[in-house]
Amino acid sequence: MSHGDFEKQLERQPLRPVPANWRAEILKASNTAPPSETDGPVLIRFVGPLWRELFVPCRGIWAALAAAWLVILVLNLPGGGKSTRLAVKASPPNRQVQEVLREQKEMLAQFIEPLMPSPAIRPKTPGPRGDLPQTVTVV
Amino acid sequence: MFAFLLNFTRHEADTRDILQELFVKLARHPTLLEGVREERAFLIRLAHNLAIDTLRRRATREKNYERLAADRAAFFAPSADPDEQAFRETLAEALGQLPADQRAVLHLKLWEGLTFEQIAAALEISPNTAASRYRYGSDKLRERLRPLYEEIK
Repeated sequence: MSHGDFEKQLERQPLRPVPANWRAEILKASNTAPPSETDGPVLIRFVGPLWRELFVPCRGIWAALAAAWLVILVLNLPGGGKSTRLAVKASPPNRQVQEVLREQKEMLAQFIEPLMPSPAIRPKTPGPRGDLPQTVTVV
Repeated sequence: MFAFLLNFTRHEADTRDILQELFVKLARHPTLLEGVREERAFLIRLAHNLAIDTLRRRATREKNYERLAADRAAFFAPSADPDEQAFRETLAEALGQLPADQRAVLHLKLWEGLTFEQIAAALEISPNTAASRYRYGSDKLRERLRPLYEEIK
């Protein structure tokens, strides 16, 4: 048997037609299918799949993250306002306080002073020649 | 499309599901066919991909992939001539024993009349691969059907 004859014999075999009721059922299903959102505007076409891939699989995590941000926001908003108000309300320290502060500053200076080398005690080291006093003799 | 899917899946219910899925997909995404040069090849590719997905799901579900292709599905129209009928039944059975990729190429070449280039475009393979799959498949069919073919000839 030649290859060509055999192929022709196969090609001649009639295929079974589509069952009669399928066409109507499939077309009905296609007609009732809701249009996809990916056929909408360009923005939706790109954001839609991204939304489905990133957000939908881990909705709980995103919701928790959003809640955490909300808590942070709520905690921070009144705190910031309060500190501003306190700063506005605070009056300049009175005279007694100023006196006490000045005394404390002096005491601190006394404590620190012995630790710091005095410029008088600092050993005198010879500087560079350029530092030597130059005497200009006018003739 | 119906015959191609039935030959590929060897399962009538799956064929119906795939056809419906294909048409629903086209109805939901009417833009899919925009700018497509070879609509027929494009539709065959869509159907082929859906059929592969279905076969994989079925294989996972039934855990017996090898047996799937041998499922008896009435693929050819019935014949009043007993010899012809026997030939068609044996041909359908022999097709079922071929690997799915060879079966797909054979079907598209013999019963859809596509060229190897068109088959290659539809199945996303090279024309050489399409030709070799066809050759292997038709050789197996010829071996299997030789006695019956000689009789009806």
